[in-house]
Amino acid sequence: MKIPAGNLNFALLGLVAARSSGVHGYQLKTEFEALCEDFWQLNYGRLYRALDNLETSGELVGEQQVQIGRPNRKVYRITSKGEQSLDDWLLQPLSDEPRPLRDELSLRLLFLRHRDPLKVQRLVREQRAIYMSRLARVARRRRKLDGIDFEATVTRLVMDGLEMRVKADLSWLDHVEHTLLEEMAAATATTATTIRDQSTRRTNQ
Amino acid sequence: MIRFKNVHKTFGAGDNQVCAAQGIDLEIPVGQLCGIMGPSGSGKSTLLHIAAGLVDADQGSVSIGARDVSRMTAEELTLMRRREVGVVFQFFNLLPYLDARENVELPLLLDAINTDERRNRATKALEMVGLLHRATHRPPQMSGGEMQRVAIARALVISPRLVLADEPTGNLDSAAGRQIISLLRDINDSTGVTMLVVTHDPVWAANCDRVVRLVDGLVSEDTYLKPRDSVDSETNGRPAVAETGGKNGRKAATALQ
Amino acid sequence: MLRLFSLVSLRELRLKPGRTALMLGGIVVGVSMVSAIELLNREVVEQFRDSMENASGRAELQLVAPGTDSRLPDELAYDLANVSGVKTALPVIDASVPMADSASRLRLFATDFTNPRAEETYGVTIVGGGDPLEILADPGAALLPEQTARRLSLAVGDTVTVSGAIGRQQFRVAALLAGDGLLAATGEDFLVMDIMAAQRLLALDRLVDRVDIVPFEDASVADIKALLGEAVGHKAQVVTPYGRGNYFANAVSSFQVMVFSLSLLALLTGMFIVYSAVSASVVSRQRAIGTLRAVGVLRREIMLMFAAESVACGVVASTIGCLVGALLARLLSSQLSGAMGVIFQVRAEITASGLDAGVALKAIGLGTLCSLVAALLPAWKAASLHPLEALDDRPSGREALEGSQSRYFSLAAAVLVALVVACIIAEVKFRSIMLGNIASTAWFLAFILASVPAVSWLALRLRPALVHTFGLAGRMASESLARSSRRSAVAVAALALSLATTITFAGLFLSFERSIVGYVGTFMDGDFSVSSRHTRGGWLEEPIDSAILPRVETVPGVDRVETLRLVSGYQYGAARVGLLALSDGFFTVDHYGPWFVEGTASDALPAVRKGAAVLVSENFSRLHGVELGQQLLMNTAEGELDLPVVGIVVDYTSDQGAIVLASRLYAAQWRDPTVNRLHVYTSSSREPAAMRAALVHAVSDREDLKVLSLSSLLEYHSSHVRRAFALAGSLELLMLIVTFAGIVDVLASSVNDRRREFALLSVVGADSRLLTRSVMAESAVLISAGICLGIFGGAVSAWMWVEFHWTWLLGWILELHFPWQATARAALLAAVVATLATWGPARTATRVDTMEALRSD
Repeated sequence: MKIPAGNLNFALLGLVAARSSGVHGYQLKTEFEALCEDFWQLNYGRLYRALDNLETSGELVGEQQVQIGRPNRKVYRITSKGEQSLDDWLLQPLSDEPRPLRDELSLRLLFLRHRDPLKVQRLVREQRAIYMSRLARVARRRRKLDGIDFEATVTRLVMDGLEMRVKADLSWLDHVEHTLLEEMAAATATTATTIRDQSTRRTNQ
Repeated sequence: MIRFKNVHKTFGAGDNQVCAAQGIDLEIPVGQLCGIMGPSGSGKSTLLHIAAGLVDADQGSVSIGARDVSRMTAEELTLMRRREVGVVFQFFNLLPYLDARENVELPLLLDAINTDERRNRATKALEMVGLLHRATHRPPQMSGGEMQRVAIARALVISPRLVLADEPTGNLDSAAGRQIISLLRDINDSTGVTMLVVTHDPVWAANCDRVVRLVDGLVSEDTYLKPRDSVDSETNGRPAVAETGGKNGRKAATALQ
Repeated sequence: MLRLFSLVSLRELRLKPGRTALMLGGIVVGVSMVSAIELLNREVVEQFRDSMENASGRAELQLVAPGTDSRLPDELAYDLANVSGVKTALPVIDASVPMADSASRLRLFATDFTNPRAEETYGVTIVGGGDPLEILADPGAALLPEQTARRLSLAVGDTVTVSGAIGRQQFRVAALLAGDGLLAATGEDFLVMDIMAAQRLLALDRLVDRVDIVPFEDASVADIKALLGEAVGHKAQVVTPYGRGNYFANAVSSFQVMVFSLSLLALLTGMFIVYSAVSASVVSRQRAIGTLRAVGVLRREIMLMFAAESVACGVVASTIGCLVGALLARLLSSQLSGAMGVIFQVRAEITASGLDAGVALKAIGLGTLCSLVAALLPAWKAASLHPLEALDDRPSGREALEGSQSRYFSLAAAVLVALVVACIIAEVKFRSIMLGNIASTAWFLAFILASVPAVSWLALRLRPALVHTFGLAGRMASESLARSSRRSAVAVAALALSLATTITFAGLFLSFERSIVGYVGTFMDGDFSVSSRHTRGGWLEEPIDSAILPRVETVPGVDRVETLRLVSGYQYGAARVGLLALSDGFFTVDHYGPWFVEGTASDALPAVRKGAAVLVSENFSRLHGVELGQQLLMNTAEGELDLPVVGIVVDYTSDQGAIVLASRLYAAQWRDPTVNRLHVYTSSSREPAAMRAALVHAVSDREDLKVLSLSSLLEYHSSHVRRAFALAGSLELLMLIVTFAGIVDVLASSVNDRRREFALLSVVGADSRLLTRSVMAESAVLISAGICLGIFGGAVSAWMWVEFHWTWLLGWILELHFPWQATARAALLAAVVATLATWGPARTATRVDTMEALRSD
């Protein structure tokens, strides 16, 4: 997936702003990956180009750092202009993007409602599995972050947010499952129970 | 490693009857970190307690390794907890007048392991949970997270084949809870000891290799979270869930297709 | 296992010092009492044994009169000198006489020094040389051992004044006995004289205490014994000096058994305290036990752990108990001496010996065993706790079970009551005090067990009353009672136990005192009594020569004088009974009639007066199975006497029963002209003070006599009875202290263990005042239940002791007097202590920080 250029610049600014002593390229890449791994792929080329652009626009300032026994590397620091840009972007109201997955689920549920409890169940379970694996990914990312010696409060906050949202979604899912199935059970009492028993027995054989 | 076969358990009688397990079939392979989730009253803790030998199943069999737990006497079960199965509880259950080291050493004390070896193993266990610096402190002087870590060390000191954790984070705040789950994950990764963890929080459960969901005393979902290969693969935003390993897994996978 | 103990048990014990102290305290008290009694008992036996052995010199056999106080005719010594194998047969007087001016006594020893072998038999060596026969030819001369003379600061030529039946007599110290002679070496304070001088002093008509036999070197002692036995028949017993001591030991054994039984009750109470302390400990350690079980401690290891704790506590407590017991023995020895003196009419100077290994080991073993037994049930309960329930701190299913288990308690109590009845019936049939002890213990256990169903029943019955009086608090209290009958029952039982033991002791004491004093007051009446100042240790005064009778009779204002002679160790069969010789005035229908239990006074009394028949006491009849109309065969100095029993009467002069006969008959058959008391009846013409002065004047030459008015006489007897029971009073006080400590712990801990419950209730809106009120309401019910149960249990127990055990143990038949005052006092004290024990903890427990208490929720 392609990253919108604007967002990439602001992400980089944010990461550099976190370190008053400056960050060098390799560090930035690692952190970026840790932050946005799954859905934003980044290579060194794109990264350095972005950094150069930011240097040119005066939002970052680069400094060569002499190292002994190794090639020199460039350390980037944020400038006051860069800080200003960052602030402006951060404080901008968010675009109201629809969350594709959740809305799609709602759509499907709408059509399935008065139909087949078995299908409802299957849908819910499928969704739950997806959410769980999303959480699992975040968990793995966190662990990688722990391994890095890096002050990553913001990153962690982002992950917290993700987790909380998925958790909320899961709760909603439980709620959906419970309500719908109860309703259907009440409507066709005997039939629903029989079907449910049959289905669980099948699942567990 | 653990095999539950058609396990039934009912508590109480007459009007107060509670069916905690109504025919649970579940198999957990060696080295797996398996999470058990489900609404309250679904029988999660009961399953754990049966595996730990703290509760007898009414029907069905439970095997740990090659041994049939459901056929063991109370004494054998107790010894199993002493030597092979480590249990971690929600409320830590440390003895308040023993310091961390003594609490950890407790199971070894019972088998008359000599002092030096006991010390060594306790030290290693405390190191593993990162609490060696608190070895001489007593529970009242510790935070919840630290106490639970001591409890985990106590479970690990016996070099168990299996660790059972019943809502280990239930009594901790989110930061401490995260630490504990992370710790369990690390231990499973480094030592490969099989773990069965009951939890109500999906965020914690997401750290497991696999999550089993119990509803009304039955296994209702069985999701594998750890990818087969070490690199995350993602296709169309769908997880690589379909895994073999147990009949439940297969069924769940086919149900999803 | 040991490590588990040292790691867990020791810390748990240290964590709750109060409760640990209680576990120790219960056994300490029990063991200290048992070991104190054991030490004192041994001293009693030793004392009697010693006193009889020491003066036997080279004699290997002795002829003694049947009975402790009886004497033999001295001609036996001369008759038996010809029996084959007998080298020497010496008549001996060996008696204790009081010194005139001090409270101390000398041991009067006299033999026939005209017998050439007397000197060598007793190792009598005169300091500075000399022949005892020559010296003692003067009837006013006597010998003292060197040590005695030094101790009393006497020298040769000084006088010693002693009191005998004929009054005070002075003896000149004619010479001293060398300290290394057989007699002097025993260390006793002998006063040695010729036998006739001794007989005169004691007003003995040709009677002696015993005849010592020295056999030829090559003769067989067993053969001689047999020959002598044939020769004397029933008139005397042939014993070895050692055997004589044993005889005394047997005599006091019944007393020893009683005192031991009482101390066992103390041990039982101690065990109960331990039981309740360990039970409470199991409850408060529930969590820890659950943890241990979850971590892999086996059931039997839990049980072993608790057992080890109780054994350790038991050993420590018993050791302390031994030391305390040794101290107690020292403190109680004077009281025991008093008790023995009063009951057995002996001079008992019991000084407690130091603790020795044997007694200590026995006591430690007993104490440890009791501690273990007491902790067994709670230990088993701890082991059977289900780990999950224990960890949850929820009693859950157990409380539900309590309802059904209450039935088992009722059943067990009923079985025990049946056992009690069976034992009592068997006790009467077999005359066994052991069965009586079993019955007594079983009764206590029965009403301890009965407290469980009692509490459940009360909770139900009192519910409306509680709600009415205390409102909501009352309802809460009632519910709590119904829910936890087992825990409440322990508090009730502790209260009941302490009250019951108090009432039993007090009831025994009061019954004894009132019965005796009532008897004395009515029976031994008269306006004044004249008797010796000296007693043998009990209440019975030393015998005096009846020659003073005419002098008293002739005092103006004196109507008549009756005499009383009591011989308290007369051998009848295997027992030592009393011989009560009374003058004619006693045997009137007015006087003696009311005391008849069987037989017709008007028919019987004339026969007795004439000396043609005898009466026996109630306890004599019961103990020796003698019925009205039976013939009684008695051995006397003048031969055998065979008389019918024409009446059975109430009498308290001897614990083994008494034979009542006419003084004339007695004086003639037993050759004993002495009396213990003169009862003086005066006409109303003179004022009491003047009358007394006249009597005193009449016997003024006898400094060894006292004249008492009737009220003084009664007080004299009362004070002696009180002395006898001072020991029981001390024991009772000790028990009270311990049981109160137990009550405090049970009540306080049962309140503290409910902190979580209170916190939960406070969340729902119950304020601390309401909670405190409900706790107090609950404990009011429990305290009342405990007191009622205790009074009931104690009353029945006292009745059992007075009616049955006392009779078979000590021989007396008493009237039951219920100790109302003591009961009211004890009940009030118990109520106050128990209320305070609840109130304090209730206030703190209900004020508990809610969130802290609920933390585990």
